[in-house]
Amino acid sequence: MAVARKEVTGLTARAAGLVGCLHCGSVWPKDTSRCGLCGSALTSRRNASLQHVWAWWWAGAIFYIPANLYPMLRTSLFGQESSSTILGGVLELVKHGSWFVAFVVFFASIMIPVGKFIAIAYLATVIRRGGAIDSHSLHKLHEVVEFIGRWSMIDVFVVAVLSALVHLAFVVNIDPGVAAICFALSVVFTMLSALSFDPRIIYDVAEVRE
Amino acid sequence: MSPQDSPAGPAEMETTARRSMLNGISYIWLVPLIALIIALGIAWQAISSRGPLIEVRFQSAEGVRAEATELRFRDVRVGVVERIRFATDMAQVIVSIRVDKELGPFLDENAEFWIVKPQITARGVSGLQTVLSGSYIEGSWDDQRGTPQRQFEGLARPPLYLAGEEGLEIVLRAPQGGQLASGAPVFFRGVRVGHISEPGLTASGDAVEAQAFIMAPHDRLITTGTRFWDVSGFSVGLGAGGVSLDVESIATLIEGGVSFSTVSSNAEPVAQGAVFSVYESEDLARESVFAEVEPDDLELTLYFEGSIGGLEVGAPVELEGLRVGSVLNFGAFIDEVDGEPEVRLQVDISVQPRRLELESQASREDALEFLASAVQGGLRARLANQGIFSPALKIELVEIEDAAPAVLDQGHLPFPVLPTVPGELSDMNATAEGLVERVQNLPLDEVMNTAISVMRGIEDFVNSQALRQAPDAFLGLVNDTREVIQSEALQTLAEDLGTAAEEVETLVAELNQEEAINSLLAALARAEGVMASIQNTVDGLPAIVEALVNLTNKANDLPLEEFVLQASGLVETANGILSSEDAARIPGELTDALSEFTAVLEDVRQGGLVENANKTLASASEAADSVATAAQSLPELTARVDSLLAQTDALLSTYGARSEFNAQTLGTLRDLRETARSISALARAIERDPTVLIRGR
Repeated sequence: MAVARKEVTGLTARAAGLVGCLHCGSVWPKDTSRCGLCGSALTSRRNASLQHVWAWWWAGAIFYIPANLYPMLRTSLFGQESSSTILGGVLELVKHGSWFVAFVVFFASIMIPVGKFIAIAYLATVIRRGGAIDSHSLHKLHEVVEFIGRWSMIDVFVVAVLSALVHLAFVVNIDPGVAAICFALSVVFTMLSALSFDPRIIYDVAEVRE
Repeated sequence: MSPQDSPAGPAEMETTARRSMLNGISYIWLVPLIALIIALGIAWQAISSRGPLIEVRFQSAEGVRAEATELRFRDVRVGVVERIRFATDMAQVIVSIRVDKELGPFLDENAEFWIVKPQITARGVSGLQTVLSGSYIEGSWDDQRGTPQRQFEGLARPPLYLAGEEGLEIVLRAPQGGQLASGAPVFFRGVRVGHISEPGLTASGDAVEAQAFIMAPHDRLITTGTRFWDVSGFSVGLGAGGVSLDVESIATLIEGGVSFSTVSSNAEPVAQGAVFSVYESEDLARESVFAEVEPDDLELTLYFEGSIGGLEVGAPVELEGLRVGSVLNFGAFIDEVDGEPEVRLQVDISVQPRRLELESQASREDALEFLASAVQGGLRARLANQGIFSPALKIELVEIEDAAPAVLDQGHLPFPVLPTVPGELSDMNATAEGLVERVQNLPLDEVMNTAISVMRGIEDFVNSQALRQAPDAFLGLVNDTREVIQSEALQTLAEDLGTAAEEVETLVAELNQEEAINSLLAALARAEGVMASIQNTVDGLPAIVEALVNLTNKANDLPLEEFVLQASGLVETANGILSSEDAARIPGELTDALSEFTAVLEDVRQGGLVENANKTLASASEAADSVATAAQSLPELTARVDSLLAQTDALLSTYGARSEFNAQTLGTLRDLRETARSISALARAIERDPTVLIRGR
């Protein structure tokens, strides 16, 4: 244990008999239940963290399936309706030679959500089963997931803006499809999933390995 | 990313996890549970609301796009094309259409599908909405739930009528396809009651057939007695009623159409798919009723002598001008009459009993009975022309009052024989002959002569260097007249007459010595008086001429109106002169004088003074010779006067017909001409035999 502690770059609050407030950053003695500064609840570790992560993760994943199968946009041009799914839209853009837009859409709507699912699942799995981990890169991964998650909403914003603005009666009309809501929910749930993750568990796992 | 398969970790971790779940925080798992339920709900809804996928085969899928082209039923969207692929033999396009679920049961074998495209025809524009939105597939099915079907054959063009639409579908047959155009209307009394589908050849290729649909409730107008005719384009007819131009509607000019009417009285309803012929015109359609042999028609045989040239199969058989049947066929055969072979012409006709003066339900027997009694009463068949100028013949059934007795030979086979009489054809010839005869009898020569003279007058006028040179022409005429009057002949005539008179006087003086010839003297005195009056007349002429010259001179200067006025005065003067008794009596007096002269000479001859008389006569002969010489120039003179008058006449007739001036002038001229003619006649008589003057014969 001592050797392990040495290897750890710093002392954890818990090991020091302290607990940090996640809200204002102040440090309190271990058994303090409420922050004296901001009044938020203090907990050394959120024990149910992984449960939450997985629950939100599943909810997000479930909604991500219809988000990809159902049409995102229903476009009616001169009375002729056409609807396209996310991937269909990307292929359509590629077909029209809009490589950049296609990449942006693909990146925001496919790569980021899928990458987020993989990343969160990886974090949760690694933490639960332990094994060789690089706690520093795990922290980095968590930060990236948390930061980039919100950008997935770019698709939903495009759909929302388009459907709000493009209502030119018979000529052209754009309505959000079922997939838009599913996608939005999926993004929200994965963001919640990422937020539920208590990065301090990573320390414990590293300690356990020691 | 399969997080479920969490392998068995360290015991401490597991207990921690289990404890967390047991601690009741597992409510968070409601979130993915609800999410799952919602997602499954969406999926279930999507799957359960999906209707059947049908496949429609088209020859070409023009304008059809996957995921975009709609299926419409009565212009309501009921499905969408999911995919388009080719049949394995590449001959057709298979369009897969996702149809609304609730319509699935209706898609049985009656369902029809076709692609709606914009169409611009003579009747109007259809499918215009597809110009912007693209083509769509229209479906049609009835309200019966049949055995659902998933494979359909698409139609190349819209069907004749929509499934469930009430009406009568019939087949129209025409010799030429031009009379039937796809979509062309069917009219009844000018109202559109149906339309025609795309025409096609019959199996044998000898006619063109097209389906036609008559919309309810007009379908009950179609019966077995209905005849269709072509109303495409326009027809111009020239008949007894004048020229008729028939145009059904402007649209039919372009795309054609057919019209129909019930022309036969024994009509029965027809079934779906009945076949009708399309005739070229309404008249032909109506007449076609007679050309068709119906079962209860009565066939008769007629025997004719002489030519039946001009008779055709189908030619009308008429009873008192009303058509009752038609000619079936005809032929010639050799018959033995009194042992001599003779060519006889046999004509078979069919008569429709109900067209005779019979009940509508008359049977063959009734008709035969009627005909038999009619033949007793003088009913006969004969040939007649179909029209005055038509060489075509028809059969007439007429009552001949004094016909030779005959009966309807009902025992003849195959048809009864109706007796005939010679046709009306010769009448026409006779009339023509009479006409020719009359024409021949016309006094054509006289008419021609008159016409020629009239023409000549006109020609003269025309040749008179146009109207504005009329005064010149008149002047020339006047000069001519003057020349004539001042001619030596006329002068010498007067002189000769004077000489003759003198000699006669001398003769009379000689005779006077004899007491017996007092009467001769008296006669001669009268002759002298006559001569003097001639002299007077002749003397009077220069005065006219002078006046004419003056007038003409004036006319040369004066406008035409004044000229006319003066001419009018002149003519009056001339009239006065000519109507004087002297002038009019010239011939009469001459004749009187001559007859008296003759009488005197007769006396002389009887008086026994022959010797003296001979001398006298010799001198008289000399005198007569002189007269003859003078008279010889008379014809020339009169001819010239005549032509002058003719020219004057022609000239004056141009100054307004029927004007008073003209009438007077013409009257005067007529008088002048008569006088001239009388002189001419006298001159001719004298010329022929001058001695008649003396001999009195």
